[in-house]
Amino acid sequence: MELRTPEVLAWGLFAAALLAAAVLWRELRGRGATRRPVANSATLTRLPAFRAALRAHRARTAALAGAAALLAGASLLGAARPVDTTVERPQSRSRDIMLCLDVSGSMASYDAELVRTFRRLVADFEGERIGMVIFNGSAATVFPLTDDYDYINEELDGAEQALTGGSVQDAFFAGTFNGWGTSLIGDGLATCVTSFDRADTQRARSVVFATDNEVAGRPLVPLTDAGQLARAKAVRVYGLSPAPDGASRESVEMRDVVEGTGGRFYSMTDRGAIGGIVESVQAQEATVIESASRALRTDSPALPIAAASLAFVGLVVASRRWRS
Amino acid sequence: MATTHLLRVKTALFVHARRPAHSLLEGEYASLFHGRSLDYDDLRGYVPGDEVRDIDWKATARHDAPLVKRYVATRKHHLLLVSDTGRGMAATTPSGEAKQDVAILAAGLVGYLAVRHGDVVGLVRGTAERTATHELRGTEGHLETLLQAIDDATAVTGDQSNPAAQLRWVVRHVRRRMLLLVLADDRDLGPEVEDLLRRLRVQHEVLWLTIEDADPTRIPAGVGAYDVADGYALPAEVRLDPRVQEAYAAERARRVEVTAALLARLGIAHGRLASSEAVVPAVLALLERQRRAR
Repeated sequence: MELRTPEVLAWGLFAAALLAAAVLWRELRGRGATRRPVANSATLTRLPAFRAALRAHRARTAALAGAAALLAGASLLGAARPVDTTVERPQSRSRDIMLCLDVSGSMASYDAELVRTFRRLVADFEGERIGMVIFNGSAATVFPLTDDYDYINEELDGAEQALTGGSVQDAFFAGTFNGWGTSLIGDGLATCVTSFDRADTQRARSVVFATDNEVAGRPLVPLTDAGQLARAKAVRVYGLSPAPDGASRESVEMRDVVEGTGGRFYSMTDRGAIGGIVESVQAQEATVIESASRALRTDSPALPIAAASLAFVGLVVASRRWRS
Repeated sequence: MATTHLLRVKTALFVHARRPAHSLLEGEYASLFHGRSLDYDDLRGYVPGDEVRDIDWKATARHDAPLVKRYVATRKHHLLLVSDTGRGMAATTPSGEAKQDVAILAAGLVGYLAVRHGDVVGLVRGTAERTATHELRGTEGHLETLLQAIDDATAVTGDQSNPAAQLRWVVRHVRRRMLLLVLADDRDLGPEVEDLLRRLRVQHEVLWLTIEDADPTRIPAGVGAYDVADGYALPAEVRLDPRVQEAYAAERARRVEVTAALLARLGIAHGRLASSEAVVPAVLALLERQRRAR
């Protein structure tokens, strides 16, 4: 245990020593003046009552002195501010995962399963950052990239509830109906791809892109453009579509776009689709960046405070018994 | 010392002179002795305490108050003051005075009566280690010297007290019949003292005055109390504990009773002195008791 202000302790001990010396001096000096000589006090000190009272007196005095010393010592120690120093080498795995969910009605149940899966995975993550963007007519960030796993869990909980028809639906989907139409897939992917921050650092960036790729409106960014944007930013997009691979024009387009970014296309008819996405994401080599180690110094006043409180109670009890 | 010890004795007597104590004391003292000469000296007024057989009835009949005969003392009586001068006597009495002052006042009072009566006064004083003696003389100056000697010898830093030491000296060295006035420390008298007293009272008249000790359980908390024997400071919190006070009061009562019973069994008149104010009445009562005892 280190002390933040050890000089307080030093000064305090010095003051205590001065006080003790002053009391002792006063005691010794003022003695003869007010003392009366008594003869044959042995008849008194021999008495069992006197012996018992003397023992009790000594016990009380010792308790008082001990409590006072402990109180003073603990207070001084507390005043010197003991700190705990922990040396931390923060490791952050530079893997960013953006959940990019199409929240049009047909996709809700798949989204829910995806969210559930990620909620489970979060427990094992260390340093990975997760963000979540939902889109329909327009894209809205549910939560940005973060490694605050408590917060992520909380948000994923809310998302799962909303996606399975829970009570917070309206609030959750707010901001996804602002575009020209619904299911503007290209806008959604573009938003997700641009949601990665720290563009200048080397990080493994993935987008889990769940959509049926059925556009009902006029997107600002076509899906192919969004794919090129992803490739330019070195973001891998893992596609997840309810339709089987190659079953429709939309799914073929989506597969082309997704594979163009280095990601893979999964069909939801495939039972292991979600597991596969997770595996592929995790298989990506995470760049581990070690930050410079730093010392964290936190006040830890619990022990001195507890000791001082105990001593104070002891002091009060002992001095009360004294009077009785 | 500006005032002499004898002056204090006379002052104490004077304070009591409004009451008939002064002459009463002389009467009581005079009656202590058996021997009277047949040489008639003069008459004086009767004072309580005089022997009834000394009343001159014929002279009284011619007068309006009783008169007693006074005789010329043929034999000088010997008063031997036996005083403890150990450090126990340098302690305080319940009134807060030094025990030695009370002892000196009592010794001075009886000594003064003796000198007035024409007797001689001597002194045996000492501690557990050492005993000193002073010769017998019948002058006030000599008495003053004796009182001063007791005062000088008693100190808190002196030797410990042991009342048996002086009594043993008297047993060994004093052959003549004397009136012994023992000024004793307030403590249990052991078998040794009892044995010595048993031998002394056969040969002498013994008067015993105990100078009481201060009660440590009654000394207020603001005033410290320490034992002169070893300097041990009695903690105020302990000695003022009600249970301790009670136990000590019982122990003290027991000691007083045991001492009184012992001295009564030996036929020795005994008095206790708690302050210098009590000296005159206590000595009066002591002399009275001694006269009655015979």
